[in-house]
Amino acid sequence: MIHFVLLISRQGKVRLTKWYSPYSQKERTKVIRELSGVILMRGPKLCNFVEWRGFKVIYKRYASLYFCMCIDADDNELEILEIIHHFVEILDRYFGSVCELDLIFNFHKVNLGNSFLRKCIVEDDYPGTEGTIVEFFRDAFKTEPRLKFNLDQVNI
Amino acid sequence: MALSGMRGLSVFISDVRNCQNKEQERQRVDKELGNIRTRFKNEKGLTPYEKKKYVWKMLYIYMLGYDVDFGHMEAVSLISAPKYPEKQVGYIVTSCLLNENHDFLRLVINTVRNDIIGRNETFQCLALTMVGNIGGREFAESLAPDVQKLLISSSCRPLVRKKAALCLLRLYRKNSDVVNVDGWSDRMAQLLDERDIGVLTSVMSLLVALVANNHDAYWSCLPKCVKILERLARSQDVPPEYTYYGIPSPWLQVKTMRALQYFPTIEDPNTRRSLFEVLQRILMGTDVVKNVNKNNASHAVLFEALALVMHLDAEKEMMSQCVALLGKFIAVREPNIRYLGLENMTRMLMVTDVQESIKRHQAQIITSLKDPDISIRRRALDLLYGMCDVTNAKDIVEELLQYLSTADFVMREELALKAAILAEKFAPDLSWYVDVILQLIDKAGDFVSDDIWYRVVQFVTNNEDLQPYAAAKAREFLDKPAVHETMVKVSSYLLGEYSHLLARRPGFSPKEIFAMINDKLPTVSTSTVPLILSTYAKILMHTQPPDPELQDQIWTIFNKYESFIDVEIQQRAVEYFALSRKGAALMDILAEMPKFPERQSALLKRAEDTEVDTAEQSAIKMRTQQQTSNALVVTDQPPANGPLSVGLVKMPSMQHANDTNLADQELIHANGAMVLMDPQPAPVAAPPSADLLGDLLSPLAIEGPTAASVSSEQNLMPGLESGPDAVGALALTTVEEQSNSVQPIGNITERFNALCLKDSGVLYEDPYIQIGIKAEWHAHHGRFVLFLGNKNTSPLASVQAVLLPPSHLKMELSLVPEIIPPRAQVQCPLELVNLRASREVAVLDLSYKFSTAMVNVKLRLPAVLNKFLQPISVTAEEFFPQWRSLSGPPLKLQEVVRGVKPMSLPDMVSLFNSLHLAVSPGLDPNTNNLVASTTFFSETTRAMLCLIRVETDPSDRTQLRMTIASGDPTLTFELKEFIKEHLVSIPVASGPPLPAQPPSQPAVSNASFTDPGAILAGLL
Repeated sequence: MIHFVLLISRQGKVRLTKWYSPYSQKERTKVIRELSGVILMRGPKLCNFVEWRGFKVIYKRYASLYFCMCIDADDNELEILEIIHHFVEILDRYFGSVCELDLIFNFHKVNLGNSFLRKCIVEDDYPGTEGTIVEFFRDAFKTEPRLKFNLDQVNI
Repeated sequence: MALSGMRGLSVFISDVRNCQNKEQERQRVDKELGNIRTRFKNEKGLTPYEKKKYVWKMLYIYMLGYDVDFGHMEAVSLISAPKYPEKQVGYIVTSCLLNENHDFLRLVINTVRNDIIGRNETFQCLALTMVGNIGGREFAESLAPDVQKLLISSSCRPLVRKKAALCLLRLYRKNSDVVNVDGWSDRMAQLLDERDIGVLTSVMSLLVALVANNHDAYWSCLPKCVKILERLARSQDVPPEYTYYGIPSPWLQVKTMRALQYFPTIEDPNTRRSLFEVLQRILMGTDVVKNVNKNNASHAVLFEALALVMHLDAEKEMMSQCVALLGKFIAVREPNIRYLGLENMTRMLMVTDVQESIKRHQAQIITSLKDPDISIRRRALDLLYGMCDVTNAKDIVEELLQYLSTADFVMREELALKAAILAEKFAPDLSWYVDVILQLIDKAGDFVSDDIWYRVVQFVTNNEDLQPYAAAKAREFLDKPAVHETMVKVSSYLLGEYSHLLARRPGFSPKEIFAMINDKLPTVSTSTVPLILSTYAKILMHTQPPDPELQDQIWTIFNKYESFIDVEIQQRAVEYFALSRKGAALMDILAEMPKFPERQSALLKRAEDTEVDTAEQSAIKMRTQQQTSNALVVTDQPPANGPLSVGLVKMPSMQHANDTNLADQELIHANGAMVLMDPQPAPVAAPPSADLLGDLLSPLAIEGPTAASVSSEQNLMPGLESGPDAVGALALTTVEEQSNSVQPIGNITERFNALCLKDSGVLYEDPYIQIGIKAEWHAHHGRFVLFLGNKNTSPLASVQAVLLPPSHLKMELSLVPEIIPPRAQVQCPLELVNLRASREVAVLDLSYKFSTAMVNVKLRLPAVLNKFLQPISVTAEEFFPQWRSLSGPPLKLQEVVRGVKPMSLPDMVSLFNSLHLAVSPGLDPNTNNLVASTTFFSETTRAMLCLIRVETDPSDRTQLRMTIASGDPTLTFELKEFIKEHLVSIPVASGPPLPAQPPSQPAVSNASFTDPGAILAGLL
């Protein structure tokens, strides 16, 4: 089970958080501080897994952003790693070559994506979300004409 | 973009981004929060759009880590909005801002339910998503049936059913009762026939949770899972949008195999065969490709398949295939695969018969121990630990030792512990074990916990053959230039005990050993000094004939420490000095340590208790289950008993709990000869290692000098003495701060009883304060001086002492200062006048505050009846006229006392003497009788003569007849009762054998509460 998702910048700034297990605000701050200390220190050629407090944190760096997910120790690590990648792919498609600034200024959109991403990808099937994500964002932002998702180009 | 309208939000975000420092950011955030607060206050003016905007801002602020303690209501209320945009924001912000325990969530249960059962599909999705994210127990109870209906409904679109499945999963996790097993298992089987892979994946997530809890009910799902796997593996009927980098839904594959691992076995041969075919295909058909993502996805499936193969305990052939694969993985360049290879190999150890094939990869695993990635190093260490057995222990342990010098600090303690455990478990011979541990201390002393060296001492003590070797090694290591303090401890202990065995060897003469240890003495901390003092005492004992020069040197050191600030050291110095002057008697007192009772290694226990990740734990559990085949682990040796050899050697730094049971056991062994320790657990500093200390301490619990040395000890330290029991307790407990409640040190009742018979000693002690008392008596006047000593380096505050005097005493306590400075002692005189005879006891209600802990104790003051007695010897001429003149009740009372503690006449005489009753021998012609006299002082009676006659029955020592006479009826009665109390249960005898404490005495540590006398006195 996924306990939380963190997006941290290389400077240790929090870009996005999502908590699926109950943590108090204080605990959250502590967790973030502790984990960013561990993860940001790791070199580039190491594995994507960190053992932490009996959990595992699966992380991957994309440009200046670290995407981290905390899971139970016996969960399938690679599965989660690809979920992260898929999340990034979706963001990429939505923003068109996503960058950190996109995520900062559109945190609410990502949040939308994120909260249902868990539903659709993390716990749910992943490719089936393509239709949904368009639907979802269309509903959310009423942007049908301008937001062009070309499903044909998605090579999945 | 459509959100250009949300400009306020963008502006706020860039403002926050532009802040130069944290302080500016906080100011900007505070300003915004203030703004939002005012806006929310006059809600009327808010358009739905504005409300939405502010709620988003709140969420952003919250996400940055600031507390947002208002506006939750606004966020929640948006859920009830009729229009989609507001409702959507309401749902999303609520699920981010609140967690499942938040009260506000209750307010929306109804709205959420209406959305779920409503017709609007988008609303259904929103509601299901939020409940699936943060639904708690209450949601589970009220919404589960509706969600179930949606999931099995044929009219719902897959989009909704997916969310329903995941929502139900959340609700089931919160409250497993929401799914009724009987009806639902058939439904689940039906749901697995689903063609839509999206819905199927969600249903599979649900199934994993269900079978994890109760696989029995879902047997019918098993063949369906295998079918799904077949369908995916053969890529039949998988729409292209459900393949990821060419792999048919890896997520569904992983989940299905996960679900299958919860069924203990697969009985149906056909199903089993089909499954193995699929697994075989996955195992063989997974190639390493260039595309990272494809690689990851295919290996995610592969590793899950490996886990399933291991779980099913497949044929040997398939297993060795797995090991071969893993062997390949641990050598690849890709770090993720290497990590997972090691992790799964550790899991593989649980499968029988593969250890041998895993051992073939030992060299590669050892290489991984030097991997640049700590995650991988940890896995390698765990695997090495798990795969170690008698055949490879030497290699592995030596490898670990070598690695220890270069390992990073975070891993060293674990490394040291594991090396120690392996060395202990699989040592081919004991001397190797000693070598390993000494090397361990030498290389990583800081990371070697006390448990580890305690264990060495234990083994050496229990194996005579090992003792000379250990002593020689200890000397060798101690001789090195820079020695770690732990090494000083273990070496000086071993040398003290066993160096005499090697005394003829060059370099092992007592003098040389002493010189070597004494070199280290100035460098060690106070926790090591007591141990070294014990070693000196042992050296002295073993030097026969005594060497005057050495004796002088050691005595000088004892003398130096006699006034040392640390009580433990001071006490040892004083005791050893006194004892070592006894010459040959020293041999009996400082005998060699008895063998330790053999028990489970506390190290192993500690390793099990340590919070480690599950894989590691499993490896350790496996270890404990494994048969061990070595000489070190002896089982069930009888505990040390037989002739009681008394060792005065105490272990330093006993911060751990005594095993109470063991202490009890040892008390029984003491045969009631003496009890020097309360079976009271010492402050627990490290619970996991309690067992080990049990090992080490149990024989020490019976430590104790013989009666003769007790008295000499008392004579030696009038200031400290408070009865041998208190001394024992003092020595065995440490001044440890306790986390919750303050436990008294020593038994309060026993301390009180001891003080009833003497005039100075310790009345009470706990980790913070020590209360000593000194008394003087003049006729019916008494004077106490209370010594309140702060044992800590910070002051004791709010000190209050209130006297609760009984009616017969007039007492006056001088002012007790409110604060006792650090390490200071305060003297408080207390004057008292005895008005009449009574057995009631005065109580001192003492309270103080240490940091945040408020401590309150009620202490009985030893102003008891016998303190106002003055023994007086009378002649026959004086006695008999008096005796006759006081005829009959109420002035003369006679009683047959039964249940008397059997004691010989001389014992009774000494008891009477200690009660200030002068026994006049020869007055009574019958030698079985005792006649005693005393003078009682009080304000009402002034000096009054009391006469006592006791007639004992030589054939039955448990009963006697007692006659008491005095000029005052109250006095006669009270004195009779008082003496009776002392005869029936003798709290503490002065000289000869101390009565044994009942071994099963419960929680003596709480004596202040369990002692009925104290409670009664408190009520007065």
